[in-house]
Amino acid sequence: MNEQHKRSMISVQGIAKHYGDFKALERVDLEIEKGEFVVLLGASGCGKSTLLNLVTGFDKPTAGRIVVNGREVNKVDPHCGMVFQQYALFPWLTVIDNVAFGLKMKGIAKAERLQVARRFIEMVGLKGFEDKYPNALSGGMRQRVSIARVLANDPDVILLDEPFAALDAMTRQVLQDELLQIYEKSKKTIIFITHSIDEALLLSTRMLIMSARPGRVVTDIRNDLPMPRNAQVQLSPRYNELKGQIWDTVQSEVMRSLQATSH
Amino acid sequence: MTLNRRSFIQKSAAASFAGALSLPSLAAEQTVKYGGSPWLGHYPAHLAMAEGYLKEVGIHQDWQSFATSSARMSAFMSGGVDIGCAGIVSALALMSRGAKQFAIIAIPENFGRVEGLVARKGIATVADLKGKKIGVTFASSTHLLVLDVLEQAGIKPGEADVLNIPGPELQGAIKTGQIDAAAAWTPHFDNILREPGVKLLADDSQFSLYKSFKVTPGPDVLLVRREFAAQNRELVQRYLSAYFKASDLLREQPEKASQALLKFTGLNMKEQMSAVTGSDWYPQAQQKELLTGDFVQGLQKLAEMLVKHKQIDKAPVVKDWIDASFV
Amino acid sequence: MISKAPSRMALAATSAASVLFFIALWEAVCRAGLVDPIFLPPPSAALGKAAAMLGDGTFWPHILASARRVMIGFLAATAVAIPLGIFLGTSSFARAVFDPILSFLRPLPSMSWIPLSLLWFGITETQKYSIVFMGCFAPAMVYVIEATRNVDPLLVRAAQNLGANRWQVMKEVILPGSLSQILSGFKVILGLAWTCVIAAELVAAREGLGFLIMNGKEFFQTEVVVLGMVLISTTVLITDFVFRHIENWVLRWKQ
Repeated sequence: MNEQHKRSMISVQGIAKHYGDFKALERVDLEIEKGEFVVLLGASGCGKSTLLNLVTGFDKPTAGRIVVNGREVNKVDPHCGMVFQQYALFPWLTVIDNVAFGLKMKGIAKAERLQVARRFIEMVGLKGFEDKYPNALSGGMRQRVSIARVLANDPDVILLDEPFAALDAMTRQVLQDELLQIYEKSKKTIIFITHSIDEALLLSTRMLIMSARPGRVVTDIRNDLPMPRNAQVQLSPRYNELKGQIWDTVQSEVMRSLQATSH
Repeated sequence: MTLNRRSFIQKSAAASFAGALSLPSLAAEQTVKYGGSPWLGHYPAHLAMAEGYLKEVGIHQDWQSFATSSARMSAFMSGGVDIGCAGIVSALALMSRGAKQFAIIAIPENFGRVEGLVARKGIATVADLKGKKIGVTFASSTHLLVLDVLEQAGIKPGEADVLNIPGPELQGAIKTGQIDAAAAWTPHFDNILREPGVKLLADDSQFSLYKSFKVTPGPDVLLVRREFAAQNRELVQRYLSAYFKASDLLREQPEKASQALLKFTGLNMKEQMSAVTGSDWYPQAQQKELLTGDFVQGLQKLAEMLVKHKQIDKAPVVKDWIDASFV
Repeated sequence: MISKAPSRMALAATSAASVLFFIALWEAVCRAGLVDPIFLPPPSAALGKAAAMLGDGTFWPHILASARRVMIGFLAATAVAIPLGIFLGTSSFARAVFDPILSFLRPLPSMSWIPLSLLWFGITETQKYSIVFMGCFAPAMVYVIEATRNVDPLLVRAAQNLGANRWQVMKEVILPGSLSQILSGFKVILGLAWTCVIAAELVAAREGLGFLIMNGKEFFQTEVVVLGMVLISTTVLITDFVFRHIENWVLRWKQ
C-alpha cells in the first residue's frame, strides 16, 4: 500500500464488477480523502449505484478491492452509512426508534440511545415528531429521519443514492441546504449520487462523472466554488463555466451510450 | 338365395320364439342389498351367499360393508340397504325418534360369551373398579354392559371413570396401564384376554336382563326396509329360507361353517370356531316364538334401561316394529 | 345520479336479516312436516337441546373443553412455526433440508395422526392437543415462510447497514416485518384448528363439541349434531372477532 492509499478514507483499487458479459464497472481506481463531499454524476446504468453497493459491502467485486478507513471491505459494515432513495424506514417503529436502531444493534442501553437519537432528530429539524410512525410523515420528513438514523450511528462515511429524487423541488432545496449544514458541522466524508448537474454543483467538493459500457470514471473535477453556495454563487460565471464543462462531457457520454444500444 | 317376405317373416318368428324360450333363465336373479361387516351377526348372510344358497333361490346379494351399526342404520334410512343385521341399540335409538323405515323380521343369534369386561392384575371383582378407569366404546352393547354391571355392584355414576375408546385402541390402552379395565367384543375381546395377568370380570351372562329374559346388552336383530319388503314379499321369504339354511349350517356343522368364514373374517381357525360355537344360532322354527314372546319383552326392558342410563330420550314400543309375517 | 354505496350499518342489518330469514324458513319447512325430523331437525329442537344443556350445566363445559384443546394446540403450533418459519425463510439451505418434510406433512388429515399420537401420548389431554397441533403446524409454517420472504429486502439491507447481525435481522426486521402477513394467515389457521376438534375428541373425551357431535350421531340425535355444528361455527366467529382486534392493536402502526 503506498502513501496515497494510507491517507485516504476510501481507496478503490482496480475495481471491476461484471454480471456475466455485462460490464457494470471496469478499471475503477480512485482515492477519496477524509472530509470530501464527492458527487457521482452520470446517466442511468453507468455504475454509480453499483459502486456504492461495493463500498457498503452489499455486493462483492469481480476484481479489485476497496479499503475504507484502513479496513478492507468484505462484508456489510455500518462504518458506511447508507441513505436510500426509498427511505427504507422501519414502518413499525416510531421516528425515535428508527433513529436509535443502529445504536440498539450495538447494544447501547435504552435511555442512552434514545437521548442520542433525540439529538439527531433535532439536528434534522424534526423535534416534536419523535413518537410518530413513518406513514404519518411526508416524503421529505421521512428522508430526514433516514439521514438522522445514519448520522446517529456515527459512520466514517455517509453514502446517499439519489436521496432527494422522489421529492418535490421545494422540499429538495430545503433538504440540500440542511445536508450542507450537517456536512459542515460534522465534517463527515460523503459520497452522493445524482443525475442532476445543478445538484452536483451545489453540494460537492469534487465531482466524478461516470459513463456506461463499460462503467468507469470519465472525468474527475474539483469543485472550487465557494461555500456557502448561495444564490449569488449559483448565478456566478464560474458556476456556468463548470456547468458547461460538465454538460459537454455528460452529453457526449450519453450520445455514445445511445449509439452503443442502437445496434 | 332370395329372401322373399314370407320366408323372412317365418325365419324372424322362429328366431324370436327361440329367444323367448331362453329368456326365463336370464330373468332369474333379483338383487338384494345387504349391509354387513365381519361381525358374527352377519355370518348367516355371508354363508348363504358363499355356499350358494341364495343363488339356488334366484337371489343375488349385493354386500355393502359398514364399520358401525349407526352407519348401517343411516343406510336403512336413506334406502341404501334393503336387509341387514344390526345391533339393537342403534335400531332402538332410531325407533325412539319414531323412524318407521325398517322392521325387525328375525333374530339371528344370541352371542352370550363373545364380549365382556376385562381388568388388569389386582382387580378381582367389579366392585373393585371404584375410582378406577374403564375403557369402552360408547354407544355400543359393551357400554351398556359396563353401566349395568357397575350399577349392580353398587358403584354410582361418577365413582368410576368410564372413557370412550374405540375398539382397536382398547388393547393398547389396557396393556400400557392407561386404563384399569376394558370392555370389548370379539376380536378385541379375545386379544385382551390373551394379555398376561388379566381377569374377566363379567360377560353378557352377568347382564341383569340376561338372567331374566336371556337378552344381552346389544342383541342382534335382522332388519328389512319396510318399503322394500312391501314390494317384494315373496323375495324376502325366499331370502329367509336361504338365510336359515346357513344358520343351520352354523349350528350343526360349525367346522365346515368356520372353514368357509376364515377368509371373510381374517380370524384363525381356533378363534373362528370359538365365535361360531359361542353363539346360539336360532333356527327358523324358533323365530315365531322369539318374535312374539318373552324375548320381545326383554328388548322392551332393554329400551327402558337405555333411557335410565340416559342413552336415549324415551323408550319406543318395540313390538310396533316387529313383523313376524315373513318367518 | 350516482347511487351511494350502502353504509356499514345497512350491510350489517342485511346480514342479520338474512340469517333470521333462513332460520325462519328452516323452522317452517320442518313444522309443515315436509321433512322427517330425523333427517332435518328444526332449529327449535336444537335450541331446546341447548336450553336443556344450560339447565343441567353441561353447556359451557362442552364449549370450554373444545376451546381449550383447540387454543392450546393452535398456540403451540404457532409458537413453534413463527421462529422456525422465519429461520427457514431466511436460509435457502435450511429450506432445502426441511421442505420435503413439510410437503409430506401438509396434506395429512388430522385424523391420520390418531394412532401414532395414542402410542406416544396415551389417552391424555396432551394427545388431543397434539392432534390439533399436527393439523395446524405444516400450514402455519408455509404461511410464515411466505411472509418472511415477502419482507422488503431493502429493509434487511438497511438493518445490515446499521450493524444488525444475522439473528438481529431475524428478530428486529423479519419478525416485525412479516407479522402483518403472518397474523392474517393465522386467522385461517385458527379456523383449520377447529376442523381438527372432532378428530381430537374421538378417543377418551367425555365432553367437547366434537364428542357431542359424534355421540349424538351414534344415537341419531340429529338436533344435538346440528347444535354442535352451530356452536363450533359460532365459537370460531367469536374468536375471529377477538383475533381481529388483537391484530389491529399489534399492527397499530399501520393506521
